[in-house]
Amino acid sequence: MRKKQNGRMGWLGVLLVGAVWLLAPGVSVASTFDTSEANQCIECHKDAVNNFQGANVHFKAWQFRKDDSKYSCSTCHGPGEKHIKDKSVESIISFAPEKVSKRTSQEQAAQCLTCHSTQNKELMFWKQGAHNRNDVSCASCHTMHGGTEKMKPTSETCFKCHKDVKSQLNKFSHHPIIEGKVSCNDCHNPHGTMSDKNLRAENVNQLCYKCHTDKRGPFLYEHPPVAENCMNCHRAHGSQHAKLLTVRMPSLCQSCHADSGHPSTPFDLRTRMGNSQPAPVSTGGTPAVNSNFTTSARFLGRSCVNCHNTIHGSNQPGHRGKVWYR
Amino acid sequence: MKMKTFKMKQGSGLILTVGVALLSGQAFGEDAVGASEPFKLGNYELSAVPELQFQVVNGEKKSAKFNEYRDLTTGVAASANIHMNRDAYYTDLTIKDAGRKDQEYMLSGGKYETFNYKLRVTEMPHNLSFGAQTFFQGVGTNNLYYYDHPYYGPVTTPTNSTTAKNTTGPAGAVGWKNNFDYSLDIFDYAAEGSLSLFAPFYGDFGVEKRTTKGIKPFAVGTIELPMPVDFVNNTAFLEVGYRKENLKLSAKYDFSQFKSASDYLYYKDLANVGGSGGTTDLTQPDKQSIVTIAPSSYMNKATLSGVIGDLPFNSTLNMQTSYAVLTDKVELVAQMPTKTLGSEIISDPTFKGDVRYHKVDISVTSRPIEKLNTRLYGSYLNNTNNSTRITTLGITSSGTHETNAVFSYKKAGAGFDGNYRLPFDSKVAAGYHYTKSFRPDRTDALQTNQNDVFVKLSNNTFDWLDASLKGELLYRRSQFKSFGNVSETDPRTQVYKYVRPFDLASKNMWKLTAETNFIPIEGLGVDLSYGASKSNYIETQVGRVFDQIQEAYLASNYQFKGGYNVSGFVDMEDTSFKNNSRYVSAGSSGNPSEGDKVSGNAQAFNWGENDKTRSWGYGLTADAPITSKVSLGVSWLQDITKGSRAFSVDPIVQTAIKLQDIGEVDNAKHSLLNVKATYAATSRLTASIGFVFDQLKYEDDAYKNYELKPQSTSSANANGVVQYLTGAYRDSAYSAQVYYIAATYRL
Repeated sequence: MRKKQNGRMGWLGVLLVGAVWLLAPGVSVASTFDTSEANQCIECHKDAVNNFQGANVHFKAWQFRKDDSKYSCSTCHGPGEKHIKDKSVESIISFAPEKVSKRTSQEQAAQCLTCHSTQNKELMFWKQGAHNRNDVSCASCHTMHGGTEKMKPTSETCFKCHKDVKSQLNKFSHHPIIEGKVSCNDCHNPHGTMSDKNLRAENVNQLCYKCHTDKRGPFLYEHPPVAENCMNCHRAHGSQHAKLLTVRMPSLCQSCHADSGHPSTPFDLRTRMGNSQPAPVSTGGTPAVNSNFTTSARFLGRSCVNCHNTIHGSNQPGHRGKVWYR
Repeated sequence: MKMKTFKMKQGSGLILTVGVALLSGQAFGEDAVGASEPFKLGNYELSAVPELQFQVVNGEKKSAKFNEYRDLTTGVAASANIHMNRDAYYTDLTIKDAGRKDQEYMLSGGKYETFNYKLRVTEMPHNLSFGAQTFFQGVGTNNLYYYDHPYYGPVTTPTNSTTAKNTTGPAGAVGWKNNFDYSLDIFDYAAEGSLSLFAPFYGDFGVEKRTTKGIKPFAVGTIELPMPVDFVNNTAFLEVGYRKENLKLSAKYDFSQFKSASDYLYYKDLANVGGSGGTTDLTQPDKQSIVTIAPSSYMNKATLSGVIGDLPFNSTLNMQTSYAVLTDKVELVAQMPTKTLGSEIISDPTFKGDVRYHKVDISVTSRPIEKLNTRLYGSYLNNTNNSTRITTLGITSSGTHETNAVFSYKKAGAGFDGNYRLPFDSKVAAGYHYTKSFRPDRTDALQTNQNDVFVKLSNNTFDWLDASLKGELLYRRSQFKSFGNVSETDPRTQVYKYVRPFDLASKNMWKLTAETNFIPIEGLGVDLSYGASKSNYIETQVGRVFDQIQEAYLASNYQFKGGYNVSGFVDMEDTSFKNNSRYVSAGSSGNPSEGDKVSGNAQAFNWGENDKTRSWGYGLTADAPITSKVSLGVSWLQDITKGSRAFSVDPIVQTAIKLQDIGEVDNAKHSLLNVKATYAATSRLTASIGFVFDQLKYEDDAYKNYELKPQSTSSANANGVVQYLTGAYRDSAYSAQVYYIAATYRL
């Protein structure tokens, strides 16, 4: 099986590389990057300018612009004549933290948006987004002078501020973020959306259904809290309980399903597996007076879903579907 | 000795993620992907960073948890990053873990400011549980049958041909221990592109195919079944738009087709064997039961977005509206309540699902004066369920009727927030949000009103100190149905009047968050944060009455002279909640305020449970340059969780009802040690050797004394339960050692 997959991947890779190579004819154009200006800045900012003129994506893009303008350090940092004289941070547009640069995060972002607001659809709702409203500037996440890899923030970038999320990701149950299979960026647009938490969907459920499509239904019998908000029962980033549950079953289910019968029965330690205590008098999992419980499927292993496995919805007509039993 | 593999990718940061990242293959950090001097090949500039690694993994036991999202087997792992560009054209090829079950291939490229594309193929395992056993034949298919009942022995030849599925299969008796793993394999193929050739107009498009195959556990009536998973989700989108600095418009269409290979899993239901139906399945071995699998469905969605800037008061108007239609069509299969009777009668054999989702968001962000930023916003959401209503009549037309209650809801919200810059580099932010929800189809709460407010203060006066304090309040009030139609004489339904589901119950919540980071001495950075919140579910007599959470985080990093670096962290999370319940049996009152009654087997008593979970983790990492070419890194991480559940009953019935507390609820201890030495042989060649110890201890009373065997008697046990478990999720604990050696060459 694996051999077959490897063959498929190799074939695909060769095909794609070849196709792209052919699609990249390249036409040399005059560089619009103003090296003479950069040579002035390099006298004091040697590392920054050298890094920029290497693999930086701005540098590469500007080299091949077809307009008559010249691009260089002043394109982002503003005119440098005054700064050359007084060296103060106030005389230049700096992207350092606010208290160093003396410029607000909004002012810094405005400089970047001069170009990027018309080039990147991800930035459409920047002004409405949570980061803009909380003084997170572009340079808080992006390293402007480095190579392409440093320009692209990773989940680790997010963890610098979102420490609670970082802690949750190391819990027993978690989305595969630290394994590198899911990134923060897959679910959140850090540049802003019209939804809460910068979600890349209208709400939580519409987001979760993108990957957990089998849960979207429509179902003959829905579970209303499930259909309305996955977060009623799950934590998005990590949980000490399996399946990212907020609370271990049966307690989670019994927080709502507390009506009479087995939903309102206390399943204590005596109901665990292998219990050799005398059997109770009554049946149906109900506790009996002056007797002990025996093993109950409502507690052991997967607890409630030992029977009610279709809790996200069922297409079984009748009572069994109604109680998400089949 | 069981051998497994281990592989490495990029990664850095504090030990919390470094350690785990190492196990997922992130050992070589920027060594593997860092920028290298481009290599000229004709008109092309080329840089490449291939990486080859050999790894050995010793595992004490085979655990799905150890391999949950990765493929760890002893052997060779290969990865590479290749970049090439020619003038304004660029191409990047990324390969990770080629040939493994967590392999990734991504090809991206384009021409600066003109077009770009991305092609991606990824594979991810999701290992759920290994070493499961069942007596069912046909594992991996949607038809599970047995010829050798675990208690009754071999079944007779089928004589009834109502359903023929079980007439196929191996003849004669077969063993009931069929071994298999619960595992999913997820493949994702995606292509997307963006074209801005005719700026300010642009177009984006993309297609994606995601396949999920494998087996996951499904249980019905405590019969655990290996459910086949064979899903395909095909998606596509097309977006066109116009973007200038002060006017942005876009229209997007999304399509999703979800295909499930089967709507049903057929199986022989052991739960009815020897039941009240009189005869057993032994005489009618072809009678089957079914469980439903996820239905195939379609989703079509249209989204319109717009932003208008440069309005008065430095304002920007943001708008977005979307309309989605989710449909499916399922041929229903009526259930056979007992083996001696026929199938249930349903009013319509075809269920046509139709859920429509309409959302409108609008906001105005402004900066009326230099130091003030404001936002005024509103949203409307309408989830309409137009699915068919199916009535089940029972075995005969005069039986108990059950009709599905389709669930629709609406939400409307509005609010404002803003922040103002104060003297001394301080800032105050505040906001208010109101939401009104309508749920006409729910059987409990019809309407909910919720008010949220927050205030946040922050200060950056000192160069060496940042600090912030945030407080939040939430008030939610719900109107519950009167339940006047519930029979007062039936305590089993009467108690429902007093239940308040926590997702709707009226509640008051407060939350406090404090954060600071400071630099007490040069080279030493400290992050400290604390958060606490508590929800009180007022008016709740039966259900959750409170829940609360506390979180604290401390991290520090010190940079020594000479490149030595030490960092560490400690975090803690403490959660707890309390449920109030009332057990009611026939002849007693369901009203919790009427006290407790214990008399023979007829009981009604109040009881409660208090669940607590405390997690804490700590880690330490150190990096030391031994020589100019040799460096050493060590990291240690532990994450510990302890949970418990304490029960209480009314003092009046304490003598009769003695509940034992549960001391181990998802107790886990994860330990991770990583030691790595790196040798920079040349400016291009780097070699590494390392060792990782990874251990997870897991204890839970629900898995104590786990018996991987069928019920030992023919009838239900004393609790009315027949158990046929397969061992799902009992294999969480593991202990493993990983040894690896790797080389990276920058071309």
